[in-house]
Amino acid sequence: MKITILSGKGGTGKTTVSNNLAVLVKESFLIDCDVEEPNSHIFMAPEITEEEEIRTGYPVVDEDKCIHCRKCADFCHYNAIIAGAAATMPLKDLCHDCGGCQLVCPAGAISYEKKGIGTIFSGTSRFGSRFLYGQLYTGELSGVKIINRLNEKMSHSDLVLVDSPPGTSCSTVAALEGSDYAVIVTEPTPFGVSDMKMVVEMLKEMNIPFSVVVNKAGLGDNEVYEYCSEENLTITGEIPFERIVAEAYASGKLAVEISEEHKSLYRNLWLNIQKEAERSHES
Amino acid sequence: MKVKEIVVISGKGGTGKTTFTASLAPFLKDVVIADCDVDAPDLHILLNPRIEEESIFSGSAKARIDEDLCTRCNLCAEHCRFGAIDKTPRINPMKCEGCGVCEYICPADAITLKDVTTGKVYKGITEYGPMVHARLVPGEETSGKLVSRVRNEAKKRAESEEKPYVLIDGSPGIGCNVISSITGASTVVIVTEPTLSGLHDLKRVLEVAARFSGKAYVVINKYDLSREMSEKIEIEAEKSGAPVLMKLPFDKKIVQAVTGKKIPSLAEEELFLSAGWKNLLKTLTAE
Amino acid sequence: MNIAFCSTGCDLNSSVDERFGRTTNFLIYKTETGETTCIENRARTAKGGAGALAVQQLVDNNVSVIIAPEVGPQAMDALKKFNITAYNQQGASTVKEALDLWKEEKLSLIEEPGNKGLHKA
Repeated sequence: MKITILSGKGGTGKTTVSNNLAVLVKESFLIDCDVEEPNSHIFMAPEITEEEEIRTGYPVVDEDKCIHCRKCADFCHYNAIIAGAAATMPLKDLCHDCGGCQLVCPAGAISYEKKGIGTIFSGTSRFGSRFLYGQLYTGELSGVKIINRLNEKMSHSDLVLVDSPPGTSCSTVAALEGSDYAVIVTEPTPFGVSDMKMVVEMLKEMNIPFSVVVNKAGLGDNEVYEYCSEENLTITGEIPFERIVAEAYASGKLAVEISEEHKSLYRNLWLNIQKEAERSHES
Repeated sequence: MKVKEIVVISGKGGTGKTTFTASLAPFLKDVVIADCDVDAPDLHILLNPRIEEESIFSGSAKARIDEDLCTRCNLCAEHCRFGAIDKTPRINPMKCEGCGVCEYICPADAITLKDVTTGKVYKGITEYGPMVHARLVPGEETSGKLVSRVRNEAKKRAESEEKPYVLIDGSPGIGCNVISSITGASTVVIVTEPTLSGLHDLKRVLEVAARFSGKAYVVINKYDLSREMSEKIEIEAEKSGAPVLMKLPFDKKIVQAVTGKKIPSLAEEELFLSAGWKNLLKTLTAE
Repeated sequence: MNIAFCSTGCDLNSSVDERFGRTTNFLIYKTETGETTCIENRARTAKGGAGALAVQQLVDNNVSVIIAPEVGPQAMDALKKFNITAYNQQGASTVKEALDLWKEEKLSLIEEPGNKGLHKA
């Protein structure tokens, strides 16, 4: 079973929820798919046993074979090839690796080479659980390929918890691929409500059942609860705002490490999520 | 006249980027405001613009199959490198990157690329000046272009009305959106928080910021949640030539201001003043 | 020889545009005849790779010199590959002024890519 934890915007507590659950839930396998800003490894402090560089393709032109017909440049929807009478020049940073230029070249002058866009790290967390995360190189265009590879590295028999990228971008869609259930983490502020609406819309379109966790409860107002009841969304848990938790978080410590009470808070949250996930798959 | 663009970014989300941007708006005289956080546009909640114009943004094209012409040869699915076409064949618009390979390869001319709506752009007026913001359709990826559009609209407006400042709420992260929102800006303010993740992301975002012209500054929000981490951030920032301009303490009153849809720097002016607000404004508006 | 300017309008009195990849127009000046041709920049609304598409248009119009505000790293490589020399328009507010400065050899070469224009999508 794959459960993806996501949020409308950053900083609502996606990593907090997924990491605390990963520590408590036996045999869980945490995957951090927020490849632009991976943070879970800070709390999981994993011992890395394997690294894999993720690569993408880009075209290379054999100038001896090129007949300067400009078909490749005309075809490329990303403007990643400049062609003139003197030369044909692919720009690898703009390439999406679609293979189109190679396909349209009548002279067989285009081949593809590979370059790295990021790394996947696998290992064991300081809690002994399996952990995987990806990191996009700075300045790279898109982490979707890394996320797709992260998805390939899990099997359906695993109980996978995914820390997703925030928002509703293509990276989030990639992280949600194959999810059985999703949990939206939000906060009781006008920002939290506004941002989660888009996530709700996306999950409905993707037909993924989900529930909502309200983090930093007690710090804001009631708008988020009103919205959930209007839209008939299940709230599987509330995590109160506590300065002691925020301070622990600041230094890389998780709530479940603070006290038994915090443990039982997350244990209850997990029971609710599990129950809701099962219920949604029966109906 | 040269318009000065001040862009607020954060790396990690939730550090208070939007709260800070909204706080700046009333203090920059003659400003045009732009919300370039098109994935999670929130600035309008605090600045409450009266919308004057709404337009559709089409930032990408997606493949569409004409069922009547399709011969089910599946060549399209075989050639699609984005896994966007299944064996039906049916196109998953969330995965289609509009590369045109399927359109080219289809022997029955059953596939065409069509422009799709990827977002909406709103132009309006706030109490503090004109504002441009946008909203991306969920699952879309061409936000870099939408970000450029919002920025350009704001800049154009500033130029035509001779306003000296454009204040930009930038995108979170370090990807193409951020690059689009800070490219060519004169001033970048990075709002961060004193956590390990804040420090981790700050390092990455400073790397991106270092590649651009203009001056970068750091604001540490909720600095008293970890003074130790706050110091580490200051060291990191100084090292990258991005001085720390202000350290704002954690205070529930700021959250309460936001919840009440009020601008924190106005609602809790004392708090801001004692954290060095005047000095920050002076630095940001210096020529 | 064809010289291209990043221009907001379509004649020599137009202001220079402060962008290269997403300039409004390219105004091309033929040194032999003094004729100008105005080309609406297709890259202005490009999804991505505006700098590259801008260079493509210069290549298509046999431009040998471009007068620009700044050029991104990718476009810079491309200009070199296609033997297009880039000069900085700094100090000029109209195309005419930039042209005069170029004739007087008062414009400096752009040899290093600027920081602008790095965005990819």
